[in-house]
Order: sequence, then structure tokens, then C-alpha cells
Amino acid sequence: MVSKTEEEQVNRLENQVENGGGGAWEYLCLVRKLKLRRADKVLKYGFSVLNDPSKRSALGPEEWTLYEQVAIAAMDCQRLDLAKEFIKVLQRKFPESKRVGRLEAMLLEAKGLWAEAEKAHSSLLEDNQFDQVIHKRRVAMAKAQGNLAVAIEWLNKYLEIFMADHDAWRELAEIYVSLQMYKQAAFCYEELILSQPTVPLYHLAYADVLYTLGGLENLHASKKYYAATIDLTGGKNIRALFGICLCTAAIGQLTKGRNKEDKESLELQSLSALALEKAYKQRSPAKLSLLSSTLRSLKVSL
Amino acid sequence: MSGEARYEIHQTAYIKLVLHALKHRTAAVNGLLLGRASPDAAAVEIVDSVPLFHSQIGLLPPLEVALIMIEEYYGEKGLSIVGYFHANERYDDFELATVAKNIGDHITRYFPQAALLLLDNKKLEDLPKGKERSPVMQLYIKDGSSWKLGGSKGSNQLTVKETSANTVLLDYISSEKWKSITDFDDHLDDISKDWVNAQLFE
Amino acid sequence: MAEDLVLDTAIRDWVLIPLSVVMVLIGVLRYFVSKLIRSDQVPDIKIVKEGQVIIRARNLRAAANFIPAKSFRARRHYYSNEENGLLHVPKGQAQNPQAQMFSDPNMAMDMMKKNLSMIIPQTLTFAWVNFFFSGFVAAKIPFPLTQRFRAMLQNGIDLSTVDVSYVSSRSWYFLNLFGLRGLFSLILGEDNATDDAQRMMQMGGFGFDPTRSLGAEKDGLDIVQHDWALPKFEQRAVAVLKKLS
Repeated sequence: MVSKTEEEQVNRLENQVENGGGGAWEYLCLVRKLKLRRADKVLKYGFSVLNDPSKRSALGPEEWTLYEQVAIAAMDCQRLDLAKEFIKVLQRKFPESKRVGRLEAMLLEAKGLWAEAEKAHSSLLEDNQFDQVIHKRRVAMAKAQGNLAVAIEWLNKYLEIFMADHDAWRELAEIYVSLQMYKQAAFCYEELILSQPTVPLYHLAYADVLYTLGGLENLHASKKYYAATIDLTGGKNIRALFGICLCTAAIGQLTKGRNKEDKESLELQSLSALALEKAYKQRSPAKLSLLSSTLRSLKVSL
Repeated sequence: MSGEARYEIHQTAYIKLVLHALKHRTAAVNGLLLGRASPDAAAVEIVDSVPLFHSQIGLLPPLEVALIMIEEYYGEKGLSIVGYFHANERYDDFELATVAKNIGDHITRYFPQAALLLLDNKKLEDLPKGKERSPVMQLYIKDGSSWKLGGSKGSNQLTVKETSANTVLLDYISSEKWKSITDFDDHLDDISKDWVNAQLFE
Repeated sequence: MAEDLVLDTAIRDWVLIPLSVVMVLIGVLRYFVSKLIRSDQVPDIKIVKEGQVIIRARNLRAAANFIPAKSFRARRHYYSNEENGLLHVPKGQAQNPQAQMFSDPNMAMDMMKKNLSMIIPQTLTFAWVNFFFSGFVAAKIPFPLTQRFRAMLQNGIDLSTVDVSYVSSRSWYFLNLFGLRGLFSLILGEDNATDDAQRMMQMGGFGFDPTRSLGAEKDGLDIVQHDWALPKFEQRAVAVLKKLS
């Protein structure tokens, strides 16, 4: 996750470079460190650094890292000619390197030569079956071909070995959600909550999935996870506040006035609504009346 | 009965949707179409649109909030939800996703002639080259229980009201206007961001 | 108290400086040699997997209260059922580490290489220092120290009257041996520092037995009392929101 201050820093640097204020290398380093995907900018600035012999030699051994970064960016921008050139330079420098081999496989991927890319990947995996990057590339490749079922299969195989890799769990969860396989997605989010129980994001996503699944039991659970999100974010998460209102409304509808709802949950709902109103009053006053009518249609009593 | 209806989309609505898809190139995005049907239900006018989400489209809670809010907002102006827009994650994917179909099904319950628009990447790519006048989207209409590609009888069922729309769109793309579009996802993250995007066309 | 000893400048030129330089050079050399003979370790797939299982099971144990009871029970069954649970180790399969080490020649080989690159140069230099420079004072540190430092600073000199701030040559060798870590990380880059102290720790921790920790993890998991924490969160959320408004 990229924090707000880091993002601001990146944007500031980007502006600075854009306006000719220098700092291209710092920008590129930061993008790499934060694993951002700003391929067009990376390609533009990285290319200019690489084309300037004095700047390039000033980097020392970092030069090759930059080549790698720019090559990947070039592939992302579909500038395959450039990518090929960079990879060639790298290959001359490191003829036996696996890392360059990985780039070559990626180039095949970018060209859409799936069968050859797959071959390259499996030969790389034979050398080192623990190369997590390549396992993940395989998943990405299946995804790029629109073959989500295969992507899921690869991910599952990967997770069988590296079952503590929460990024992979997250990817799997998102694929399941996009396929509307919510039960499976819920399992993945449980796994994520287990590995990082204090990240509100996962509680929120889990609650969303539970709500989507529906059913009284899931709705009750969903509300609890929204509550956890509120607790972990100090009541600042708008989605969670809305979630509480939605859940309470849906539960009310399901139980149809067979009112065994305790006072407490109603209190939570009206408090969430109040918090929403306050947030809108402060930051989006134009939409305040809209919010009130929205809450009214959710039968939230204020 | 709904197969014969004609659909006309206003330029602002059209541009908002395409720009939204361009802003989030690496993700599937969706949006809502707002408008009204003529009294005899022969024509549907899509007056405005709201870009909805760019992440986790398949989740219900944000969508429900968005639907209620948007309905309230446009209800006052006499517009209602008349359709749904979807752009696929992958460039070469021309299939209508199941999520889109499900949301479309939901909308048809309230508005039977609902339109389901799918971004046509191929047409969008060819835009700078040709003088294409028709919108860069495919229209799907509900036919019985399935969604069918509209305009199969040679006639174009979906038209943009202003003929200059694609030129304006290109202009917006080249000036990188898509950076400043905000969708409902952005709004939920930071409520000071406005999903109506009124400032976009100033 | 003894009077100030005057140290010959020749000692500085022929003992102090050469000793330090030699120590640095040996450190660098050793780094490259160990890099040369280090075999690319391809860990066994079973070990990697077991490590990951342990992490995941530990997470489950630590955060069990954050997921619903049903989900927890399903997972516990998955980990610790008697047939094919991930943490279940069939009896008799658990080897003791000693036997495991000898059954895997690679492991012994690896350890030997590590030892070679560490012990041989150390013995050699120590012998060299002992032979040439034993028994005299090589340097003086500019501040007084208590008697307790005598053993550390005046190794090889058995005089109780010499002020503690004098450093014997053999002690200078030891100081260099353990104190050059910062310098190495400067010369060889952050991660490459040859760190004797750390390596010794690793040696001590050797013989880590994954099967045993699998069993321990299983026992731990079996006794976890699941108590869903989420209902409490509703009250906490109410409190948080009350504070806000």
C-alpha cells in the first residue's frame, strides 16, 4: 500500500521532472520502491537518462537496474521495439542471467506469443522452482488471455506451496469477486484478515463480500466487520459507515419487524448516519440533502 | 417489444463514460446511464451518465449506495436510470461480462428498455484515423432472458445526439482531460470529490 | 600506579597499522572466497512448504478471534486432522536432526564450507599474530578504564601494574576481528558484510527441525479457544462514533 505522503512525494517529483527541474533518477527510484505503475512517465524519463551518456555513467551499477525498469515500462506502453533494445543491452552484459531471461519471457508475453512465453517460463522454473516472480507471471499470463479459470488454477498451485503470500491471496480474492464466486472470495479475505488482522481494508472487503452473499447470518456478520472497520479507521471510512446503514436496513427487511433487534444495533446505525452527515457537512455540503434523502430511503431514523 | 426502441446518447454523457474508461485503463470500469423514454417507449434519450467504479465491480454495497444516491439526485431533474455502461479489463475482450449482465437485469426490472453499453476498444483505437461518427460502444438490449447485440438489422440503434461528439472526445483525450474525471469510487474514498463531474466541461 | 609508558613509533608503523590492514584485507578476501565456494542453495520443496505452513498456522492461532467460528473450525480441521492435515506428522516419520544431517550429504558439505571459510583464516591469523606480536603493548586508548577491561584489552600480558588503557597486540587483533563490521558493510555494501557474530548465531541455531515445530504448532492450534472478537467491535464502533459526534 502506498501512503498518502508517499504519493504526494511522487506527484511532486513528477511535476518537478515534467517542468525540467531535474530529479528524474530520484523519481524513477521512488516509483520502483513503491512499485507504482506509471509506465508512460518511467519510459519517458528513464529513456532520457539512458540516452545521456554522462548521466548514465553517473549511475554506476544502478544503470542496469534502470535498464530493467525502463524495459518493463516500454512493454507496458507497447513500445516493444524499445523494450527489445534494452533487453539486448542487458543480455550482452549478463549473458547467463535468469533475471534477463525473465525479461525475455515477458517480452514474448507482450508480443502475445503465449505458447513460447509459457515455454520460457517453464524452462526458467526448471532451474529454480521457487522463483515466485515466474509463478506469478504465469497467473498474469492466464489473466491476460482472459482465461480466469486457468489463472485461478495456477494461483491455487502457487498458494499450495507459498501459502503465506498474502498478495497472492488478495489477487485470488479479486479474481473470485470478478467471477462472482463470493464464497471463495470470502475464504480468501478470511485468510487475509488472519495474516494482517489490523488492516481495515481487509475487514471492509470481507464485509462487502458477506453483504453481497446475503442471507441473515451473513448480513449480521457483515455488519460486525463494518463495525471493525469503523473501529480501526476511527470512523473515517465512508464505505463502512454506509455499510452499517445498508446492513441494518437489509436485516430489518429480512426480519420484517419481527423486532428482536436490540437497541444497540439501532444505535450503531443512527450513529453511523450522524457521522456520515457530519462528514458531508464538512467536506461536501452540496451533497448533504442528497445524503439525507438517501438515508431516508434506507429507513434510517435520525 | 423493447427491441425496436432507438437510443440517443448526449455528448456529455458519452464523453464522461469514455474518459472514465481511459482513466482506469488497467481495470474494468462501469457507469450508469440516466435519461428518459419517450411516451410511446419508441426512443430512449440518454441525457447524462455517472461513472461508477474502477475496482471490485462485483461487490454489492457500494453499488447499492450509488444507485440510491444517483436515483435521488437525478429524480429531481426528471431523469431516471435507463441503462448501464461497462468497459472490460482487457483490451481484446469483447464479451459482455456476467457482472454487467446481472446489473443490467436488475435495471430492467425498473426500466424494461434498459440499454447496456459495452466499450468497443477497437473502434476507440481507430478513432483518430477515421471519421467515425457512431459511438465507440456496442449496444446490448434485453431480449427475453438474454442480452442481445442491438442494431443487427443494419440500422444503428445507438446514436450520439451531437454529430461532433467524436471530434470533441478526441480533443479531450489529447488534452488528457481523463485525469480529472472522478467516479463514485473516488467519491467514497474522498467525499469532496464529485461524481457528477460538473467541472469537467467548463 | 605505573608511570606513562612511551610507545616506540616503530610499533605503530610495524604492528598497529599492518595488523589492522591485514585484518581488513583478510575480511575482504574471505568474503570473496566464501562467495566462490558457496553453492547455490536450492532448498527442499518440503522444507519451504513446511515453513509456509507454520507461518500460516501461526497467523491462524494469533488472529483466530477475528474470523467467524465456522471458518475457524474449518481451518483447524484442515490443519490438524489425523488423516491428511497439513500440520499432522505421522509417527515414525519424524527424524531427529542429527540423522537428517547425515542422510543429506549436501547439508554437511555446506556446513563444512561455511566452517572452512571462517575457521581457517581465523586460526591462521591468530597464529601469525601470536607468533610475531605476542606479549607487548601496541597502543594506548586516550581514556582511563576500570580493571575489568584488563582481560579484554591486555590479553597476553600478565602484568597487573600496567594501566588498563594500554592495549596489547593480541587484544588489538581481537578488537579488529569483531569491530570491523561497520567498515566491511562500507566496503562490500550493506548486505554483504561478513558478520562473524551473526554467523556464529546461525551455527548455534543449526539443527532447526521443521517437523518438531509442526507438531508444536498443531498442539498449539488444538488448544485454542475460539472466541469471536467481532461482536465486541460493534460496541467499540459505537464508542468511536459517539466520540466523533
